[in-house]
Amino acid sequence: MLASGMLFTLVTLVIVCTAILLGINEARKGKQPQIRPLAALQAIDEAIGRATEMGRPVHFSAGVGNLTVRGAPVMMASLSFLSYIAEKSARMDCSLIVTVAQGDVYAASDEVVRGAFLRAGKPELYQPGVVRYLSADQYVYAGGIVGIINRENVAVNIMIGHYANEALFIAEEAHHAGCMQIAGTTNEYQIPFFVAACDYVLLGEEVFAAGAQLSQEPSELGAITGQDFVKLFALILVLLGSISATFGSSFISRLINR
Amino acid sequence: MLKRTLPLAITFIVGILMVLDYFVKIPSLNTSAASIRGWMPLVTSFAVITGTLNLVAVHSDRIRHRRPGWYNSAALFLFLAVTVIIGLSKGTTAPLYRFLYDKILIPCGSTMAGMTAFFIASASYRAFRATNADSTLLLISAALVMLGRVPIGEFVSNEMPSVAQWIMDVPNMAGQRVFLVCSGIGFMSQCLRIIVGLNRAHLSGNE
Repeated sequence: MLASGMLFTLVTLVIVCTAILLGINEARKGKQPQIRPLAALQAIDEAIGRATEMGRPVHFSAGVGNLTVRGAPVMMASLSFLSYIAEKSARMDCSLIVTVAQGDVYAASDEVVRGAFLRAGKPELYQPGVVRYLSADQYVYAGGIVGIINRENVAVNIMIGHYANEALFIAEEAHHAGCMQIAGTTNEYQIPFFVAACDYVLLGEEVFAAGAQLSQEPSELGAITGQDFVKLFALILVLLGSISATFGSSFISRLINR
Repeated sequence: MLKRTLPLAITFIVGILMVLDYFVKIPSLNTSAASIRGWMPLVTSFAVITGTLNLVAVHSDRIRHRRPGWYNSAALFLFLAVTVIIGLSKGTTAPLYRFLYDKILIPCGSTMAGMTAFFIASASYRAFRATNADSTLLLISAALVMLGRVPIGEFVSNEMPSVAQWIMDVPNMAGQRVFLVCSGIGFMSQCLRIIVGLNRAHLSGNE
């Protein structure tokens, strides 16, 4: 019944799920973990404040991923950021532009922005032009964003989500347009480009941790504790594998392939 | 209630089904999971229609109010209409449709991809400024890798390509794997919270 070579993966999945659910349970009981402050996260408030003072808009983009396949988990995390940024912008009367590349992300983003404006007590700010569908083609999408940044004199460019080749194109153009930039992605090939071109960057897993910090939800904060336990498990496995391979044993690799 | 409970219930059932499909070989279960995966293009197609309606709303508003660059919106409508009409009437293999795709869209995309090289140069120039210990280390390692990848590197020293390869294979690969493992754990945690309904960001923001 169990597919061959899947036993170790299944056991690992059970360990991961148990650790995360235990972490969430502890957080819900009041034992919330302390998460180190992330500079990029603190910069979001400062950036929105700066855009408000300048009377110029904030631009948010979640990249070219969608909610079903390409980078779906990070796209879901980016919706948490969008919710926070939209609410904050509405409270500060700062103009917001959200650009999306996929139809399903458009539908979800539109709903998130509408809900955030409502929570801020300013539903009248919601208009069809706030969330804009550009194109599913990565370069058409990038070109569209660059046009918006330059035409509409955007002050702050926030890019958190799933990005591919277009990441550097957008980030560099926004830099030349004088935007303050905050970026984050889990795609390890695009992180160096963001580090080179942006003011603040969320690296890999920090995107998920930052989402938890923004929401302050016990379920999200507790999951971070669980993730740390899983990282410890992975570290022990890597160490054991390295030691056993050094002494010529294939025990760990055979265990993983079971 | 249905607006919240029903999507959460569907997410839970489909999520568990997909996880089981990955691990277990039961023909009826695997067939059901394959059928659900087959629905995804259908859902995506409907979502594209929603996105296109937004595109039309945003750009028609720009033309109506003669906002700066409104003529770009008019060009968008022209090409949107031409592409849709030709695609629906003559199919996506028609010569005119292929012309629009192969001779306009693809070259525009390739031009933008080509421009990335210049953006890499300008971004690298800023990133490689030796302002502190970290950026100096970055500058040295990047210079060694670049030298090791071009013929002049071998002219400077025969060891240069090996040094460049070592930097890519050992410290660089170790760093990348840390990102991969940590991001993977974050992915699993995020998926678990979505499946059990603890993350509801997609249902009108955080609660």
